[in-house]
Amino acid sequence: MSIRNISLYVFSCVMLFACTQEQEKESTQIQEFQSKSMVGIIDGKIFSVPSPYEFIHFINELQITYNHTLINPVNNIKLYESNLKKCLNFGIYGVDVAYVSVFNQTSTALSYFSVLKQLSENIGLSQVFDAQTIERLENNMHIQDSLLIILTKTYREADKRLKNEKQKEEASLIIAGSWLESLYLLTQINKEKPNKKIIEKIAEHKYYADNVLALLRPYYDNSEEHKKIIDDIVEICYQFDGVTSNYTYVEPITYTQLKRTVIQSQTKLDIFNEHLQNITIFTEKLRNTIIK
Amino acid sequence: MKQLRIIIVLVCAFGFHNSMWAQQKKSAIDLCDNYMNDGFISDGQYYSHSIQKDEIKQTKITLMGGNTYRIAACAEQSKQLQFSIIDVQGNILFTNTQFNYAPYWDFEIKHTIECTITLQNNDKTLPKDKTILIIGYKR
Repeated sequence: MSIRNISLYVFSCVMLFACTQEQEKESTQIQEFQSKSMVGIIDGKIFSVPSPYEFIHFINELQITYNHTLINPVNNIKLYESNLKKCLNFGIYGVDVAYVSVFNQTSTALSYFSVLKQLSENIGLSQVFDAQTIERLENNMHIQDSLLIILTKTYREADKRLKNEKQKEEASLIIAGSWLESLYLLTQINKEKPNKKIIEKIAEHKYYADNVLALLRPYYDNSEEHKKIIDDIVEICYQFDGVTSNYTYVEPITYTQLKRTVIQSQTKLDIFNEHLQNITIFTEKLRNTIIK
Repeated sequence: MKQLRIIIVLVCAFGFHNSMWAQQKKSAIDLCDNYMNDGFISDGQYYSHSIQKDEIKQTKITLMGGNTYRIAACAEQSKQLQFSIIDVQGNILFTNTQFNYAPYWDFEIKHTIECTITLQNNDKTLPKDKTILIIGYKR
């Protein structure tokens, strides 16, 4: 092989290596991105978890009155020392912000966002609440829709960052906190003024209960505090076992031009009063343990 | 010298192809994100899958009654990414193969149902591909 040929061979190898490096770099980025979805993966399947936006949407339609005593007081933030409590309460305050924003409680919403910001600094999420986000919040505070969009974006960014930094436990705890607070608010609203729609919504939490439990289960042995909280969630899940479902298939209607399908199948959920009462009691007990 | 030129051209072409490929991979996520318009907001999560040939990936989901969802599924390379919605009895409620592999579709949900979204790469020339699934809510 001539020197020229060897040079060409080396040059080609270097170029190919460079190309492969770039390809691998991209591939790694995608792999990392893929790992961001791990939080919801259980037994190879990804499960959905409740989103604050869905909760807001439902509360908005109920036409109920605002009850400030239901939400976690902002002053409680000083009580949270463990990472477990900080994360769970981040989820709880997140739903509380959603709740107050439905009722246009502007100043309250701002103080709750401030609490979220403080907690975010403790759990490695401070970048989510940068100056630009806060400014956007202040400017849009009177527009409920804008606030909801920002909240959803914030939740999404937090979710992304936590998964990105491989803080799966923190992400799971935040999700669990959100789930618990939405269940708490619904059960309390129903306790004040029973409503068939709310009872159905509570029963629907059956779909989430096992997923939340599955997210937390890997951290059961982390501490006695973990064990107690997860045991209490198991108790709530047992009560959801009493929710019965009956599915009926109805043929969907598709509008091709609109790229839309109307799914009409029905699932009828029934919850016995005894289970509903127990869910209300157990949820209140656990939620009050967490916020104090 | 002619040989050198040919090799340089080939290597550069290969490099350009790889660069384009990397760009395509990046844009699969961006593309899916771009479908979250028309008043739809993502549920805050990306559901990523690496799909082998002849493999079906499943995402179990609860679609809440009274909501309209937009489901977008994008692959890094495949133009034949099949996504379907299957109910608990195994009935196919929707499959995009009937609509020229439409990358997104809207679903108006009358009553809350549990179902499964399946993803499958029907481009048999690709042994493996990465996919992104995004679920959005109508505001």
